[in-house]
Amino acid sequence: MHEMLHPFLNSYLDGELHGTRLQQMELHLASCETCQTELKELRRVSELLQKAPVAEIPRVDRFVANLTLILPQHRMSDQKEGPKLLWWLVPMGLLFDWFFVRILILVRDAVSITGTAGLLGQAAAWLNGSTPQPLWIAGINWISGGQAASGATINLLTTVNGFVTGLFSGFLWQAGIGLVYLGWLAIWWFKRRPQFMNSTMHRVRPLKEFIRQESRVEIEKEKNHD
Amino acid sequence: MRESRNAETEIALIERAQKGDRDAYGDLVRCYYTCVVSIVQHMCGDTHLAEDAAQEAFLRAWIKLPSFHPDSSLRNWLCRIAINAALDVLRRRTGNTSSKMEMQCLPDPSPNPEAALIEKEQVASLQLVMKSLPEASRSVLVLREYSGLSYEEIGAVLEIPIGTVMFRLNYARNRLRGLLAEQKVQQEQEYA
Repeated sequence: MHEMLHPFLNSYLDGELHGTRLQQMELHLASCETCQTELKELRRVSELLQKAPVAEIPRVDRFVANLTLILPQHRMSDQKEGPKLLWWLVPMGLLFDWFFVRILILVRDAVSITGTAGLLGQAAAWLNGSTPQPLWIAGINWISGGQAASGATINLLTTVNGFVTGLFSGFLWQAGIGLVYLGWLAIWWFKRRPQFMNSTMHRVRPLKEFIRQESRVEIEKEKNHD
Repeated sequence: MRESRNAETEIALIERAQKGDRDAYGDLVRCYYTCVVSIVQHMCGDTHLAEDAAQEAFLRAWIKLPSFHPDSSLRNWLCRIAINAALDVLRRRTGNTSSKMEMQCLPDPSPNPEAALIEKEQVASLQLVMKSLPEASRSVLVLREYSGLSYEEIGAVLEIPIGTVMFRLNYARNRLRGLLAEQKVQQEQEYA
Protein backbone atom coordinates (compact mmCIF):
# COMPACT_ATOMS: atom_id res chain seq x y z
CA MET A 1 0.00 0.00 0.00
CA HIS A 2 2.87 2.34 0.87
CA GLU A 3 4.49 1.84 -2.55
CA MET A 4 1.19 2.46 -4.27
CA LEU A 5 0.25 5.65 -2.43
CA HIS A 6 3.67 7.21 -1.89
CA PRO A 7 3.82 8.89 -5.36
CA PHE A 8 0.53 10.63 -4.55
CA LEU A 9 1.80 12.50 -1.46
CA ASN A 10 2.29 15.71 -3.42
CA SER A 11 -1.15 15.39 -4.96
CA TYR A 12 -2.60 14.96 -1.47
CA LEU A 13 -0.69 18.02 -0.26
CA ASP A 14 -2.03 20.07 -3.17
CA GLY A 15 -5.60 18.90 -2.62
CA GLU A 16 -5.63 17.11 -5.96
CA LEU A 17 -6.72 13.71 -4.64
CA HIS A 18 -10.39 12.82 -4.73
CA GLY A 19 -12.71 9.90 -4.07
CA THR A 20 -11.42 6.49 -3.15
CA ARG A 21 -7.76 7.40 -3.52
CA LEU A 22 -8.17 10.27 -1.05
CA GLN A 23 -9.76 7.94 1.48
CA GLN A 24 -7.03 5.38 0.97
CA MET A 25 -4.37 8.05 1.46
CA GLU A 26 -5.94 9.34 4.67
CA LEU A 27 -6.20 5.80 6.06
CA HIS A 28 -2.59 5.11 5.08
CA LEU A 29 -1.29 8.36 6.58
CA ALA A 30 -2.95 7.55 9.89
CA SER A 31 -0.75 4.45 10.18
CA CYS A 32 2.45 5.20 8.18
CA GLU A 33 5.01 7.30 10.03
CA THR A 34 7.37 7.53 7.02
CA CYS A 35 4.68 9.10 4.88
CA GLN A 36 3.66 11.42 7.72
CA THR A 37 7.25 12.69 8.04
CA GLU A 38 7.60 13.05 4.29
CA LEU A 39 4.33 14.95 4.05
CA LYS A 40 5.48 17.26 6.83
CA GLU A 41 8.76 17.92 4.98
CA LEU A 42 6.97 18.55 1.68
CA ARG A 43 4.65 20.98 3.44
CA ARG A 44 7.67 22.73 4.91
CA VAL A 45 9.22 23.06 1.43
CA SER A 46 6.03 24.58 0.16
CA GLU A 47 5.85 27.03 3.08
CA LEU A 48 9.46 28.10 2.60
CA LEU A 49 8.89 28.65 -1.11
CA GLN A 50 5.98 30.91 -0.27
CA LYS A 51 8.31 32.89 1.99
CA ALA A 52 10.75 33.50 -0.83
CA PRO A 53 11.68 37.18 -1.02
CA VAL A 54 9.77 39.26 -3.49
CA ALA A 55 11.65 41.68 -5.70
CA GLU A 56 10.44 45.21 -6.06
CA ILE A 57 8.55 45.18 -9.33
CA PRO A 58 7.95 48.22 -11.53
CA ARG A 59 4.61 49.89 -10.96
CA VAL A 60 1.98 48.57 -13.30
CA ASP A 61 1.07 52.02 -14.69
CA ARG A 62 4.67 52.77 -15.57
CA PHE A 63 5.08 49.29 -17.06
CA VAL A 64 1.93 49.66 -19.19
CA ALA A 65 3.01 53.13 -20.36
CA ASN A 66 6.42 51.83 -21.44
CA LEU A 67 4.91 48.76 -23.04
CA THR A 68 2.39 50.78 -25.04
CA LEU A 69 5.23 52.76 -26.56
CA ILE A 70 6.94 49.68 -27.97
CA LEU A 71 3.88 47.71 -29.03
CA PRO A 72 4.07 47.06 -32.75
CA GLN A 73 1.09 46.94 -35.06
CA HIS A 74 -0.68 43.62 -35.16
CA ARG A 75 0.26 41.16 -37.90
CA MET A 76 3.94 41.56 -37.17
CA SER A 77 4.18 37.80 -37.16
CA ASP A 78 2.99 37.74 -40.77
CA GLN A 79 6.17 39.47 -41.78
CA LYS A 80 8.01 36.35 -40.77
CA GLU A 81 5.35 34.11 -42.28
CA GLY A 82 5.69 35.67 -45.75
CA PRO A 83 9.26 34.59 -46.53
CA LYS A 84 8.62 31.33 -44.68
CA LEU A 85 5.71 30.59 -47.00
CA LEU A 86 7.79 31.49 -50.02
CA TRP A 87 10.34 28.87 -49.03
CA TRP A 88 7.56 26.32 -49.28
CA LEU A 89 5.83 27.89 -52.22
CA VAL A 90 8.75 27.82 -54.66
CA PRO A 91 9.60 24.09 -54.37
CA MET A 92 5.92 23.22 -54.17
CA GLY A 93 5.32 25.25 -57.34
CA LEU A 94 8.13 23.46 -59.16
CA LEU A 95 6.84 20.12 -57.98
CA PHE A 96 3.37 21.06 -59.13
CA ASP A 97 4.74 22.04 -62.56
CA TRP A 98 6.56 18.74 -62.87
CA PHE A 99 3.39 16.81 -61.99
CA PHE A 100 1.47 18.92 -64.44
CA VAL A 101 3.83 18.19 -67.32
CA ARG A 102 3.78 14.47 -66.52
CA ILE A 103 -0.01 14.42 -66.42
CA LEU A 104 -0.18 16.42 -69.65
CA ILE A 105 2.06 13.93 -71.45
CA LEU A 106 -0.06 11.07 -70.12
CA VAL A 107 -3.27 12.76 -71.29
CA ARG A 108 -1.77 13.42 -74.75
CA ASP A 109 -0.68 9.81 -75.03
CA ALA A 110 -4.12 8.67 -73.96
CA VAL A 111 -5.74 10.96 -76.52
CA SER A 112 -3.35 9.76 -79.18
CA ILE A 113 -4.03 6.10 -78.42
CA THR A 114 -7.77 6.71 -78.34
CA GLY A 115 -7.55 8.60 -81.62
CA THR A 116 -5.51 5.83 -83.24
CA ALA A 117 -8.15 3.38 -82.15
CA GLY A 118 -10.65 5.57 -83.99
CA LEU A 119 -12.76 6.31 -80.92
CA LEU A 120 -12.60 10.09 -81.20
CA GLY A 121 -13.27 10.48 -84.90
CA GLN A 122 -12.37 13.93 -86.27
CA ALA A 123 -11.76 15.32 -82.77
CA ALA A 124 -8.62 13.17 -82.40
CA ALA A 125 -7.12 14.53 -85.59
CA TRP A 126 -7.90 18.08 -84.46
CA LEU A 127 -6.39 17.51 -80.99
CA ASN A 128 -3.26 15.95 -82.48
CA GLY A 129 -2.88 18.75 -85.02
CA SER A 130 -3.09 16.42 -87.99
CA THR A 131 -6.35 17.48 -89.65
CA PRO A 132 -5.77 16.88 -93.35
CA GLN A 133 -7.75 19.86 -94.63
CA PRO A 134 -9.72 21.77 -92.07
CA LEU A 135 -12.76 23.89 -92.74
CA TRP A 136 -10.97 27.24 -92.79
CA ILE A 137 -8.77 26.16 -95.72
CA ALA A 138 -11.90 25.08 -97.53
CA GLY A 139 -13.41 28.49 -96.61
CA ILE A 140 -10.49 30.41 -98.11
CA ASN A 141 -10.65 28.25 -101.16
CA TRP A 142 -14.34 28.98 -101.52
CA ILE A 143 -13.90 32.78 -100.99
CA SER A 144 -11.12 32.99 -103.55
CA GLY A 145 -13.32 31.17 -105.97
CA GLY A 146 -11.01 28.20 -106.23
CA GLN A 147 -7.96 30.31 -107.17
CA ALA A 148 -6.14 29.44 -103.96
CA ALA A 149 -6.54 25.81 -104.71
CA SER A 150 -3.20 25.60 -106.48
CA GLY A 151 -0.82 23.03 -105.04
CA ALA A 152 1.67 25.53 -103.57
CA THR A 153 -1.00 27.57 -101.76
CA ILE A 154 -2.69 24.48 -100.39
CA ASN A 155 0.68 23.21 -99.16
CA LEU A 156 1.43 26.54 -97.49
CA LEU A 157 -1.98 26.69 -95.86
CA THR A 158 -1.66 23.10 -94.68
CA THR A 159 1.77 23.87 -93.17
CA VAL A 160 0.40 26.95 -91.39
CA ASN A 161 -2.56 24.96 -90.20
CA GLY A 162 -0.32 22.17 -88.92
CA PHE A 163 1.85 24.65 -87.13
CA VAL A 164 -1.08 26.49 -85.51
CA THR A 165 -2.92 23.36 -84.39
CA GLY A 166 0.37 21.86 -83.20
CA LEU A 167 0.98 24.97 -81.20
CA PHE A 168 -2.52 24.77 -79.83
CA SER A 169 -2.41 21.14 -78.80
CA GLY A 170 1.18 21.19 -77.51
CA PHE A 171 1.32 24.54 -75.81
CA LEU A 172 -2.09 25.97 -75.14
CA TRP A 173 -3.01 23.47 -72.42
CA GLN A 174 0.21 24.06 -70.60
CA ALA A 175 -0.06 27.80 -71.00
CA GLY A 176 -3.68 27.73 -69.82
CA ILE A 177 -2.94 25.81 -66.66
CA GLY A 178 0.23 27.82 -66.12
CA LEU A 179 -1.87 30.96 -66.28
CA VAL A 180 -4.34 29.53 -63.77
CA TYR A 181 -1.40 28.81 -61.45
CA LEU A 182 0.08 32.27 -61.87
CA GLY A 183 -3.38 33.77 -61.37
CA TRP A 184 -3.73 31.89 -58.14
CA LEU A 185 -0.32 33.19 -57.03
CA ALA A 186 -1.34 36.74 -57.92
CA ILE A 187 -4.59 36.45 -55.94
CA TRP A 188 -2.65 35.03 -52.98
CA TRP A 189 -0.21 37.93 -53.12
CA PHE A 190 -2.89 40.62 -53.44
CA LYS A 191 -4.82 39.14 -50.50
CA ARG A 192 -1.76 39.18 -48.29
CA ARG A 193 -0.31 42.45 -49.52
CA PRO A 194 -2.14 44.64 -46.95
CA GLN A 195 -0.67 42.51 -44.14
CA PHE A 196 2.85 42.89 -45.52
CA MET A 197 2.30 46.63 -45.83
CA ASN A 198 1.04 46.83 -42.23
CA SER A 199 3.97 44.82 -40.96
CA THR A 200 6.44 47.27 -42.46
CA MET A 201 4.55 50.22 -41.01
CA HIS A 202 4.76 49.06 -37.42
CA ARG A 203 8.34 50.28 -37.12
CA VAL A 204 7.37 53.82 -37.88
CA ARG A 205 4.25 54.12 -35.83
CA PRO A 206 5.62 53.84 -32.28
CA LEU A 207 8.15 56.50 -33.13
CA LYS A 208 5.40 58.79 -34.39
CA GLU A 209 3.37 58.09 -31.29
CA PHE A 210 6.39 58.76 -29.14
CA ILE A 211 7.01 62.11 -30.85
CA ARG A 212 3.34 63.00 -30.55
CA GLN A 213 3.35 62.13 -26.87
CA GLU A 214 6.53 64.06 -26.26
CA SER A 215 5.12 67.14 -28.01
CA ARG A 216 1.93 66.80 -25.93
CA VAL A 217 4.06 66.74 -22.75
CA GLU A 218 5.95 69.81 -23.92
CA ILE A 219 2.73 71.70 -24.60
CA GLU A 220 1.41 70.80 -21.17
CA LYS A 221 4.66 71.92 -19.59
CA GLU A 222 4.44 75.24 -21.36
CA LYS A 223 0.86 75.67 -20.26
CA ASN A 224 1.80 74.97 -16.65
CA HIS A 225 4.74 77.33 -16.91
CA ASP A 226 2.50 80.12 -18.21
CA MET B 1 -23.05 36.67 -11.59
CA ARG B 2 -20.19 39.07 -10.96
CA GLU B 3 -17.68 36.54 -12.31
CA SER B 4 -19.65 36.09 -15.50
CA ARG B 5 -19.82 39.87 -15.92
CA ASN B 6 -16.07 40.07 -15.44
CA ALA B 7 -15.64 37.33 -18.01
CA GLU B 8 -17.82 39.27 -20.43
CA THR B 9 -15.78 42.40 -19.82
CA GLU B 10 -12.60 40.44 -20.39
CA ILE B 11 -13.89 38.97 -23.65
CA ALA B 12 -14.88 42.46 -24.79
CA LEU B 13 -11.40 43.75 -23.88
CA ILE B 14 -9.76 40.87 -25.73
CA GLU B 15 -11.84 41.50 -28.83
CA ARG B 16 -11.01 45.20 -28.76
CA ALA B 17 -7.32 44.47 -28.22
CA GLN B 18 -7.39 41.96 -31.08
CA LYS B 19 -8.53 44.79 -33.33
CA GLY B 20 -5.53 46.82 -32.24
CA ASP B 21 -6.94 48.82 -29.31
CA ARG B 22 -3.90 49.53 -27.14
CA ASP B 23 -5.93 50.91 -24.24
CA ALA B 24 -7.92 47.69 -24.04
CA TYR B 25 -4.70 45.72 -24.08
CA GLY B 26 -3.32 47.96 -21.34
CA ASP B 27 -6.34 47.05 -19.18
CA LEU B 28 -5.69 43.36 -19.81
CA VAL B 29 -2.02 43.82 -18.87
CA ARG B 30 -3.09 45.49 -15.60
CA CYS B 31 -5.30 42.47 -14.80
CA TYR B 32 -2.57 39.88 -15.33
CA TYR B 33 0.51 41.89 -14.50
CA THR B 34 1.06 40.42 -11.02
CA CYS B 35 0.55 36.86 -12.23
CA VAL B 36 2.99 37.20 -15.14
CA VAL B 37 5.61 39.10 -13.12
CA SER B 38 5.45 36.51 -10.34
CA ILE B 39 6.10 33.70 -12.83
CA VAL B 40 9.00 35.38 -14.60
CA GLN B 41 10.59 36.49 -11.33
CA HIS B 42 10.62 33.02 -9.89
CA MET B 43 11.68 31.48 -13.16
CA CYS B 44 14.55 33.92 -13.74
CA GLY B 45 15.64 34.56 -10.15
CA ASP B 46 16.96 37.94 -11.24
CA THR B 47 15.14 41.27 -11.11
CA HIS B 48 16.50 42.73 -14.34
CA LEU B 49 16.03 39.54 -16.31
CA ALA B 50 12.53 39.25 -14.88
CA GLU B 51 11.68 42.76 -16.06
CA ASP B 52 12.94 41.93 -19.56
CA ALA B 53 11.04 38.67 -19.56
CA ALA B 54 7.80 40.35 -18.40
CA GLN B 55 8.07 42.94 -21.14
CA GLU B 56 8.85 40.30 -23.72
CA ALA B 57 5.94 38.15 -22.52
CA PHE B 58 3.41 40.96 -22.90
CA LEU B 59 4.91 41.99 -26.21
CA ARG B 60 4.63 38.43 -27.53
CA ALA B 61 1.09 38.18 -26.20
CA TRP B 62 0.17 41.35 -28.10
CA ILE B 63 1.67 40.03 -31.33
CA LYS B 64 -0.05 36.67 -30.99
CA LEU B 65 -3.31 38.11 -29.69
CA PRO B 66 -5.11 38.10 -33.09
CA SER B 67 -4.80 34.31 -33.13
CA PHE B 68 -6.05 33.91 -29.53
CA HIS B 69 -9.52 32.40 -29.17
CA PRO B 70 -11.51 34.46 -26.62
CA ASP B 71 -13.29 31.34 -25.30
CA SER B 72 -10.05 29.84 -23.99
CA SER B 73 -8.39 30.94 -20.75
CA LEU B 74 -6.36 34.12 -21.15
CA ARG B 75 -4.59 33.50 -17.85
CA ASN B 76 -3.37 30.06 -18.93
CA TRP B 77 -2.33 31.44 -22.29
CA LEU B 78 -0.40 34.28 -20.68
CA CYS B 79 1.20 31.88 -18.18
CA ARG B 80 2.52 29.78 -21.05
CA ILE B 81 3.89 32.84 -22.83
CA ALA B 82 5.46 34.07 -19.57
CA ILE B 83 7.19 30.72 -18.95
CA ASN B 84 8.54 30.62 -22.51
CA ALA B 85 9.66 34.25 -22.37
CA ALA B 86 11.47 33.67 -19.07
CA LEU B 87 13.21 30.57 -20.43
CA ASP B 88 14.25 32.41 -23.59
CA VAL B 89 15.60 35.35 -21.61
CA LEU B 90 17.56 32.94 -19.40
CA ARG B 91 18.97 31.13 -22.43
CA ARG B 92 20.02 34.41 -24.03
CA ARG B 93 21.96 35.40 -20.92
CA THR B 94 25.49 34.52 -21.93
CA GLY B 95 27.71 33.98 -18.95
CA ASN B 96 26.43 37.02 -17.13
CA THR B 97 26.19 35.43 -13.72
CA SER B 98 27.07 38.55 -11.79
CA SER B 99 23.56 39.94 -11.67
CA LYS B 100 22.12 38.52 -8.52
CA MET B 101 18.63 38.73 -7.21
CA GLU B 102 18.08 42.09 -5.59
CA MET B 103 15.18 40.99 -3.52
CA GLN B 104 13.48 42.85 -0.77
CA CYS B 105 12.71 40.45 2.02
CA LEU B 106 9.30 40.60 3.52
CA PRO B 107 9.21 41.74 7.14
CA ASP B 108 9.78 38.65 9.27
CA PRO B 109 7.05 38.06 11.80
CA SER B 110 9.14 35.54 13.74
CA PRO B 111 10.11 36.75 17.24
CA ASN B 112 13.13 34.44 17.35
CA PRO B 113 16.06 36.03 15.42
CA GLU B 114 18.07 32.77 15.28
CA ALA B 115 15.16 30.84 13.82
CA ALA B 116 14.54 33.68 11.42
CA LEU B 117 18.16 33.54 10.26
CA ILE B 118 18.03 29.79 9.72
CA GLU B 119 14.81 30.15 7.80
CA LYS B 120 16.32 32.88 5.67
CA GLU B 121 19.27 30.63 4.84
CA GLN B 122 16.93 27.80 3.99
CA VAL B 123 14.91 30.01 1.69
CA ALA B 124 18.08 31.25 -0.03
CA SER B 125 19.32 27.67 -0.49
CA LEU B 126 15.97 26.55 -1.81
CA GLN B 127 16.05 29.33 -4.37
CA LEU B 128 19.51 28.33 -5.47
CA VAL B 129 18.43 24.72 -5.88
CA MET B 130 15.33 25.88 -7.67
CA LYS B 131 17.49 27.66 -10.22
CA SER B 132 19.43 24.47 -10.79
CA LEU B 133 16.29 22.41 -11.42
CA PRO B 134 15.59 21.31 -14.99
CA GLU B 135 13.48 23.87 -16.84
CA ALA B 136 10.55 21.48 -17.16
CA SER B 137 10.36 20.76 -13.41
CA ARG B 138 10.95 24.39 -12.46
CA SER B 139 8.11 25.53 -14.72
CA VAL B 140 5.70 23.12 -13.07
CA LEU B 141 6.85 24.09 -9.57
CA VAL B 142 6.53 27.84 -10.27
CA LEU B 143 3.08 27.45 -11.76
CA ARG B 144 1.96 25.41 -8.76
CA GLU B 145 3.59 27.36 -5.93
CA TYR B 146 3.41 30.94 -7.18
CA SER B 147 0.49 30.97 -9.59
CA GLY B 148 -1.61 28.46 -7.66
CA LEU B 149 -2.69 26.59 -10.80
CA SER B 150 -4.30 23.19 -10.47
CA TYR B 151 -2.62 20.15 -12.04
CA GLU B 152 -5.13 20.24 -14.86
CA GLU B 153 -4.41 23.91 -15.53
CA ILE B 154 -0.65 23.33 -15.42
CA GLY B 155 -1.12 20.48 -17.90
CA ALA B 156 -3.12 22.81 -20.15
CA VAL B 157 -0.55 25.62 -19.88
CA LEU B 158 2.45 23.42 -20.62
CA GLU B 159 0.55 21.08 -22.92
CA ILE B 160 1.55 17.97 -21.00
CA PRO B 161 -0.52 15.18 -19.40
CA ILE B 162 -1.43 15.40 -15.70
CA GLY B 163 0.76 12.35 -14.99
CA THR B 164 3.77 14.28 -16.27
CA VAL B 165 2.79 17.28 -14.12
CA MET B 166 2.75 15.01 -11.05
CA PHE B 167 6.05 13.41 -11.97
CA ARG B 168 7.84 16.73 -12.50
CA LEU B 169 6.38 18.22 -9.33
CA ASN B 170 7.43 15.16 -7.31
CA TYR B 171 10.92 15.42 -8.73
CA ALA B 172 11.26 19.15 -7.98
CA ARG B 173 9.88 18.96 -4.44
CA ASN B 174 11.93 15.90 -3.60
CA ARG B 175 15.09 17.69 -4.72
CA LEU B 176 14.22 20.63 -2.47
CA ARG B 177 13.23 18.32 0.39
CA GLY B 178 16.55 16.51 0.03
CA LEU B 179 18.38 19.81 0.33
CA LEU B 180 16.52 20.73 3.49
CA ALA B 181 17.35 17.34 4.99
CA GLU B 182 21.06 17.85 4.15
CA GLN B 183 21.05 21.29 5.75
CA LYS B 184 19.41 19.90 8.86
CA VAL B 185 22.12 17.26 9.19
CA GLN B 186 24.84 19.89 8.70
CA GLN B 187 23.33 22.14 11.36
CA GLU B 188 23.09 19.26 13.79
CA GLN B 189 26.75 18.42 13.16
CA GLU B 190 27.75 22.05 13.72
CA TYR B 191 25.91 22.24 17.05
CA ALA B 192 27.21 18.82 18.19
